[in-house]
Amino acid sequence: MNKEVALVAYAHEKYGVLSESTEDLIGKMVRGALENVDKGMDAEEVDWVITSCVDNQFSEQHQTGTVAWEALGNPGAKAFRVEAACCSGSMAVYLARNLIRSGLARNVLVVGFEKMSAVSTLVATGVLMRGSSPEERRVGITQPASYSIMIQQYMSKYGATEEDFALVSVKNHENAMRNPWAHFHKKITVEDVLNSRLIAPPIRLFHCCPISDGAAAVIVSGDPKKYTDTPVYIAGMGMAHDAFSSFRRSDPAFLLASKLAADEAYKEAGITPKDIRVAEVHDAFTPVEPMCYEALGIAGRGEGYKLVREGVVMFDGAIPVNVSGGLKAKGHPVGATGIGMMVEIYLQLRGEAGERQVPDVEVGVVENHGGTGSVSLVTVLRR
Amino acid sequence: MAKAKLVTYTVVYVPPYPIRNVYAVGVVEDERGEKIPVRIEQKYAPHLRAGLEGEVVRRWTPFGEIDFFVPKVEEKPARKVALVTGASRGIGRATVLKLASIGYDIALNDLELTDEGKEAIKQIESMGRKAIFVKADVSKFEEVQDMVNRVIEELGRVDVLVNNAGINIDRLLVNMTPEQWQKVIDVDLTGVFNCTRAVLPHMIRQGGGRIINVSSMSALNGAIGQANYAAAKGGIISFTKVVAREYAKYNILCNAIAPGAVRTRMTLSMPPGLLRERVANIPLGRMAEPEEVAELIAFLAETTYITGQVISINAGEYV
Repeated sequence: MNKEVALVAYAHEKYGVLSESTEDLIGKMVRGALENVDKGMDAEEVDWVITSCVDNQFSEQHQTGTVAWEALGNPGAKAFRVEAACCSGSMAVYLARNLIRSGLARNVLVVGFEKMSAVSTLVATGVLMRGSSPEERRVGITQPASYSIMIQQYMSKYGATEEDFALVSVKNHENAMRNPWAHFHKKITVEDVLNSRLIAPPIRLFHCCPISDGAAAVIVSGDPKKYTDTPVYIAGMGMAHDAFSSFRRSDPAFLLASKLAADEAYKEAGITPKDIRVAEVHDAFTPVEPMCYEALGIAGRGEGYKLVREGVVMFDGAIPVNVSGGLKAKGHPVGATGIGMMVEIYLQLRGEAGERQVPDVEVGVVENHGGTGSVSLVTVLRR
Repeated sequence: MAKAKLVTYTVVYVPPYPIRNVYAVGVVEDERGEKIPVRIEQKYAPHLRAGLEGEVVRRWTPFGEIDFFVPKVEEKPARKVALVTGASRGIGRATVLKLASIGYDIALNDLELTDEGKEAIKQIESMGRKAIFVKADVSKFEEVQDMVNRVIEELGRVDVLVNNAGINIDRLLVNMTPEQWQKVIDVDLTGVFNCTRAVLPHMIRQGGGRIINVSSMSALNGAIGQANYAAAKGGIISFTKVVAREYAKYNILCNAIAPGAVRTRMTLSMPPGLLRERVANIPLGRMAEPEEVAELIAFLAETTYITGQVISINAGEYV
């Protein structure tokens, strides 16, 4: 039996265009998380600090581990940075948990961030394309173009329409209205989405997550009850890969890596998809969100888009998805994203989500994939 | 070079740095069933469909060697369409005849269809091209939008826009009323905005276009009595440069021409003494014929590498 590991505190910065430097954001998150521990925690009790950030061109700082270490103020702690594309945040929590399980740490502070607004959209698109496979990059298949190949196959295979995808954007924007940390606080309509400009058909501007700054942190603990009476347990975590180029996958219309990661996480947690009450999934481009439902098993293969039509995943539905606003409307500061998603489920499980609280949450799930699904981590959190 | 068939594709409307222009990408399957990611030039975008046959060609670019898919399609559309404003007389009329002679279907815009306009339509039709008259006051955006919609409905596309419509109300600034100022600005400058704004979405969707704005030598040398006209024509030059920069990535090229004295009604309405004095100052010693200006417009309609430029055509009157 593995040791029970839980999240015991968090810090979260508003996503959007932030004036603080990378270093300031890291410091704020490290101190914020420590101050946020219910029963208190000394810096000396944190053995490792892990930072999560995707690309240094955004942050202008390579040694973010050292920045976080200095902010922590425990000379005996160790620090490093991880990168696993858009799921770097989940990856950092995955490593934190394993450090604790292996006995190398009692508590690990994980801080994710990205300062993306420092560069122009043109440059940001170029930097983000570094997350495409070498053969995709060579001919200029950007992330949205690679997703577009998947989405087109999904549409022709299962009959999902542009209206279905637009509805996902509408839902996530509406959810973000209840989240003070969200990048966007603006309701949109299906028409707004369908009339927005083309990015890589069928992907339009209002399907795309924004380029955001943001930061979030969690403290992962091997002795959770010492720090809070209401820890949020990491009941299961899974990680898997699929072909780097979306067109090389056995089924480009399916997120196999996320499915394999979910299987692994559910098995460890001893749950089935039926136990899930709330989920945060990786809607970097909203037409992909229904594929996430299918990978998580909350919808049958090819039926994810129907959950949107039927209202199942709406805020007042049976399994609300992306109540935070999702990557689409809460924002996607890539290195912070996975940790921000964990914070959302953490709050939901502790009943601290305020206006966006979903009632009776026992189990919540985070699906956080990288690239266009070449790597994925799924986390099951429970009370 | 290998034969291949297109499996899937999309157009990258937000190109990643350092690529500047919009392009298409796709995945093709070669004869052995091997999947190959490819780039596709934007000009082919309107023709793309799954199953389209073509060849994969490896090309050198400053960013490395890239596999391009060259589909087996006619590169140029079967018919090309030009919309010319102020087309019933003068430079506009000469332009529609010239463009029709090099294969364009024509939408002639003006406030009224004059006898000269009717005659031009007949001539264009006798060349085997289509011609329609689209009435609109270019200074009114809604009329312009309706006009462009009609062109798309009846002729299917718009490849070239010639912003030629213009008026002049010449007098010394001390005698110019605000209404006279505004009227010329509305037609000569706002009209160019209106028409360009209305055709741009169609040109973007089609994969490119050419916009030629008729400015004037008056914008360059500050002609006496033309504060309103020269300001509008100068505005057109700045506008041209912005459009050229903003839409180059969509293969939309925008240039301005600056004619000197052209033998049109506008020039001939000058007081005879002033006209004689002016012609005497032209090194070539004569006014331009509208057809000579139309030649330049037709050249710019077909250019593939000139954009954001102001081309003078004035026989050396202003150098």
